[in-house]
Amino acid sequence: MLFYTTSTFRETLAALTKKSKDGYMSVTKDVCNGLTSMPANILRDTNDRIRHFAEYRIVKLRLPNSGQNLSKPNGFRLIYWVSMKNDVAVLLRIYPKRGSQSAVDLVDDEYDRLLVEMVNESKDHQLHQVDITNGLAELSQNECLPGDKHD
Amino acid sequence: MCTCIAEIKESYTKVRHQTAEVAQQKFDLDDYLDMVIVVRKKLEEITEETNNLVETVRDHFTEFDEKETTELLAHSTPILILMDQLHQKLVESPLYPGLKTAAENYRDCVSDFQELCTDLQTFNIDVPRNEKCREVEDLLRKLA
Repeated sequence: MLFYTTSTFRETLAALTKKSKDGYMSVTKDVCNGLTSMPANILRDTNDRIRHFAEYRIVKLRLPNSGQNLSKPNGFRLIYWVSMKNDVAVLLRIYPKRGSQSAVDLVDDEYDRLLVEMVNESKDHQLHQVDITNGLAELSQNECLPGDKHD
Repeated sequence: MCTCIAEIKESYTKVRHQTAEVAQQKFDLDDYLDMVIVVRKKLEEITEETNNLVETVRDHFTEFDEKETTELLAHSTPILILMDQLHQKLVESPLYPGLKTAAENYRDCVSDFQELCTDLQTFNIDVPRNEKCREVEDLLRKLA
């Protein structure tokens, strides 16, 4: 499966790993472990999915914070979009449940903003492809969703 | 439409009764150790039952329609209030040092339950009603 990121995801990830004293330095490893531990069918049909359509799913994956020994309920929340027709997923947002950067859970306007951003960045070929087996290292930029490939 | 709604409602009732039982219990400090053991065991039972309930609802999260979600949320609100009251009672109790780990696990499961309720409200009621969300979701069907 190919994984892409939006600018919001990259910005929030960078903010979490900026200061080690915040206790979020394991976030990249925890995201990679969470995603690589699941085969594609489970990534799509995990019981953490929050929106369900024939063409795609939206998932709010609960992840532990291994750096602070926090279990899933107190760890991170990873929001991602995954296609049912193509092996493609887009990481939309990551936030911690505890600590100085803890965030409240998504409401409909924030959800809408994340999806609009993904649509616009795909249209403008601004998604970045990342390697989940290599610490989310960037493989390429200027990427788009399958439906925008004809552009 | 979710097929297991009746089973889930039973779990809600069980959690409410278990929580109410401990919340209403008088903590008899003459027998401190016995009391700690009894309350800790009950807390662990509520925590396990609540965690199971949260996982069951998560398993069926996208199957609930608006009416079912509204029913579940109506069941949840008094339970969450009761759970918060119980946690507060535990924290203020002289028994707390002997119950700390069980009380923290209990607090985490209450927090998970609260998050589940927020998600149910957002994604099964607010998002489907939000025209902007529906429009962008429709657009994404073509891009998948």
